[in-house]
Amino acid sequence: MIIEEVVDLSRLQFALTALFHFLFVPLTLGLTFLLAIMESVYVMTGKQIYKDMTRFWGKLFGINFALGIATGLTMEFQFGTNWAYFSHYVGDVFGAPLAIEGMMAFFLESTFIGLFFFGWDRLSKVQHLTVTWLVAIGSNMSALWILVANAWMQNPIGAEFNYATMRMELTSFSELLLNPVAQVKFIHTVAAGYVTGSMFVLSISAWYLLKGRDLAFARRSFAIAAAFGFASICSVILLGDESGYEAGAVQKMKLAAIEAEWETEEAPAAFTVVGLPSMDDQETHYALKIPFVLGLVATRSLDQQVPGIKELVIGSEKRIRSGIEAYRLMELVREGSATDEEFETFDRLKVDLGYALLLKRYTYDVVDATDEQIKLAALDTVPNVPVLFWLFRLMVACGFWMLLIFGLSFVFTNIRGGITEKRWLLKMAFISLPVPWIAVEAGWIVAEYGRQPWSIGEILPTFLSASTLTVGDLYFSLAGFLIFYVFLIVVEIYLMMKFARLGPSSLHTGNYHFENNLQDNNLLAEPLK
Amino acid sequence: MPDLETLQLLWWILIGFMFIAFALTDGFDFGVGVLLPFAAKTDTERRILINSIAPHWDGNQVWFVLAAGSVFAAWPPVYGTAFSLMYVPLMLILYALFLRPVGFDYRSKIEDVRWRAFWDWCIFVGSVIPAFLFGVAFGNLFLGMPFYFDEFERAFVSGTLLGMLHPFALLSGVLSLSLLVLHGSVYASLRTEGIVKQRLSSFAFSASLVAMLSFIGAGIWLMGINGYSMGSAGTVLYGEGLWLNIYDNWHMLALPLTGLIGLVIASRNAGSSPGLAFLGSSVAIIGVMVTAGATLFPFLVPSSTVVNDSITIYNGSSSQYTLTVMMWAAAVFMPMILAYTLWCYRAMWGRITQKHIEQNSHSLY
Ligand code: HDD
Ligand code: HEM
Ligand code: HEM
Repeated sequence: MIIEEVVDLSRLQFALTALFHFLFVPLTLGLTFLLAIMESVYVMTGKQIYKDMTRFWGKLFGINFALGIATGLTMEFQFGTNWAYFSHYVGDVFGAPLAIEGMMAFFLESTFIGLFFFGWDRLSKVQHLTVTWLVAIGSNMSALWILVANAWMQNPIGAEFNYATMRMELTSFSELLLNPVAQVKFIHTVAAGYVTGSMFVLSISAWYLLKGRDLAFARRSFAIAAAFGFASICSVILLGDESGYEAGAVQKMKLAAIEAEWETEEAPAAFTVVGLPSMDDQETHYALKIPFVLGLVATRSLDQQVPGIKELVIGSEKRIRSGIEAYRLMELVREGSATDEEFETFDRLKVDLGYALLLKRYTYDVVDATDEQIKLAALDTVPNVPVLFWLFRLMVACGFWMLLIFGLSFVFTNIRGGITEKRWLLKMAFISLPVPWIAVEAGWIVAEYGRQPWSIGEILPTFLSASTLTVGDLYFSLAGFLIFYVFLIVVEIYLMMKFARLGPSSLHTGNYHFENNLQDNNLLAEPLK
Repeated sequence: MPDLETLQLLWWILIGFMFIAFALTDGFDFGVGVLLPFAAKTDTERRILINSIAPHWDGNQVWFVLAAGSVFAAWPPVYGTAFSLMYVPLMLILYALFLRPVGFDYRSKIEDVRWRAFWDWCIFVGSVIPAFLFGVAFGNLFLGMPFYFDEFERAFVSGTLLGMLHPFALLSGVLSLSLLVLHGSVYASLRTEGIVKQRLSSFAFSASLVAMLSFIGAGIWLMGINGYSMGSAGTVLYGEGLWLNIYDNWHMLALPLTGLIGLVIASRNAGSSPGLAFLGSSVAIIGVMVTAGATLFPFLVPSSTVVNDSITIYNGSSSQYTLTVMMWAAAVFMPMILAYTLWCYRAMWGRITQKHIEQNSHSLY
């Protein structure tokens, strides 16, 4: 039956590989746009320094991009290798955006990326600029389609269960595409990518400014990053608020867990700033609350209630019981022995079928579930509250910190005297380099771990989604990923630091800081052994 | 909406096309990667080889990603079942594929003999393992795979790595490896000159011989292998030589013959006329892959545990609506992809010379 260890290891592997993929993705999303902006300035003004900027930041971008591709390949196959029942159950819906992503986005980005790096001499200025923009558009399109797929897992609309094939089938492609969760998710996530790219450029440029190296180059890079980053962090925060609103509309349990709101409160609910949520006691100790704010964010009103976790669990229990009935009828319907009336009841209750599947952990037959088992399954619908509570606050804190950094940087680059004298701000910008990565990883854990126990919200539980692999298979693959990923990240960070230190001198144009000391060594003229 | 059966057939053709496009384009990248340590001796020679594929290998690889995504969209049970059956080999392919992007990009970043030699071997491993295992995986489809479905269509698989290393599958691996090496060497001949080009053509010649022998060998071997065939009323027949049923209609022999003719053309022109040889190796790849696909037809993943649970293009597809939507998407995007891919090749075409490499040591790979 279900081997819990296989499920847990598969989840661990998916989480590790996805979080790893998302170390590189946001930088790609942000840098492609920044490169396109820099190159546009070059083409418009004809100033060589902007071309050098495009090429230098492009070099760092290339180092990152290679790993984005390598780790993305893993993701593309993992739904099949590790989540076979998931693939069967929702492939009819979920596969489509993934395939379209390949046709519409990956081809664009990967075909033109080669020309971005190698086409400088072969293409006209405008042609090359077009190529750069196409890469940027391609990477953003890929984010769009994968997030459409992911949003459907959170809010599965536009699809219906088919008892004959035992799977969800697409009923409306436009609903899938226009999923409101997809829209907020897309903007929040790509804007988070722009923030990451901007922070990368801002922070490294700040370091050159602090060292007093390549000042003209660094100041221009800093200014572009500050402006773009400031606009982006504003939209991340606004759209983060929007995500909270959408989560309030479709994923009440996730929102309640993020807020550690155990009991339903009178509208408008208070927002818990900090506290110590406890799963065992089902309450939040030492909570510090601001009145009204949660209700405002989640419902945009003063009079609607935000349901608490305990109330939602009671709701889950009801839906499990109705799901059991649906499951019983489904067996009749599949045998062909259901009466018309039974068929109609099944059709009405089938939305709760997923809740019945939660019982598969406790009993194979589902219909024979005891009250005890139903209670356990209902409790399973509560995600890990402390983790969501804290990581959400971590993300938000990072957001406001970066708002401050980008805000000040933007202001000071645009007033007299400029940024070079504000050494304290340059230092703050430099040490903020890891902050966007902390925020995005925290954000994804909130979004994905907060979806548990569902892999498809209220439709398919995660533990059922897994492939029927052996524990040995998973130890093998996990060990492989661990070895390769650690190796790859070490090499990548080494190269990034090396080239960031070298700065624009690495372009060998003869105009930058280290050029006089650098001689080309002829180490490689002899044959290799 | 077109009717379901037409759509299923169209998607079989379309996904076949994607896999063939993958083999035709990324195929020569793999071939060049395998030849890298052998056909080039100095750093400049290796950089000539690498830069002959540098601007394109990434776009080429997307055919693989797209084929996998399309299998997911068009045949979800195939995507789930075949990939979890082939779990360990697929993981090995993935690990190997990690090494190519980083190998290509990181190799050039530091001018140090050991650093570059290390990445050369990574590129080699990242090319030779997938090129071989793709064939092994495909060969296994002919042998049937150990899985069945329970009453809720959940697949139970029991594939193991050892189980997949049947000698017939290994022979298919040799076939795919030799085809891609051939393809890579004739492609690189088109873009290089002098001594490198000479070395490449001798590799092309031996690779085409190996490919020919293994292709013929696999065909003969199939006569002795238990094959699958559609019986009446949806049942599946299972028995010796059944795979070769399609050749009862002797016109079908044109498919394997095309493959062989391609190989002959490639081997005869490898030294003198790389353009013709490239055409030959392309025809050979198309011939071999179409032969394999047509021989399996309509099966996608035959089951050796419960033969009636075998997945075919008819019982394993997505719904009519999804197939239709995807068809429209493909109709819009595939021509665009082909057009801009060709444009990119044209923009970057030309021989990579030693002088060019040495003058651009900081902007090329
Ligand atoms: C919000 C953005 C985003 C998210 C959530 C994901 N990806 Fe990704 N992916 C990208 C954004 C991206 C990108 C920006 O387009 C990348 C990253 C770096 C790169 O080279 O392209 C990329 C690369 C990339 C590649 C390599 C494509 C190529 O060769 O050009 C594949 C196959 C995937 N991804 C697949 C996936 C899958 C199956 C995911 C779901 C689990 C996933 N990605 C999550
Ligand atoms: C790249 C950004 C992403 C990150 C960092 C991420 C993170 C995670 C994490 C932490 C988990 C583990 C949750 C758990 O098991 O407790 C998970 C599971 C999962 N995620 Fe994501 N995710 C990302 C994108 C996506 C996307 C875009 C999809 C779908 C298109 C997706 C589909 C899944 C699936 C199928 C699982 C496994 C089933 C499950 O555990 O729910 N993820 N992800
Ligand atoms: C400051 C205010 C912020 C708020 C109110 C906020 C809110 C949210 C919420 C509610 C989610 C979960 C959405 C869901 O589960 O469906 C989320 C996810 C996420 N957040 Fe934030 N966020 C903020 C800042 C940031 C920052 C600064 C970053 C990174 C630079 C970031 C990156 C992400 C990412 C990558 C995800 C996962 C993808 C998604 O679900 O959209 N967030 N955020």
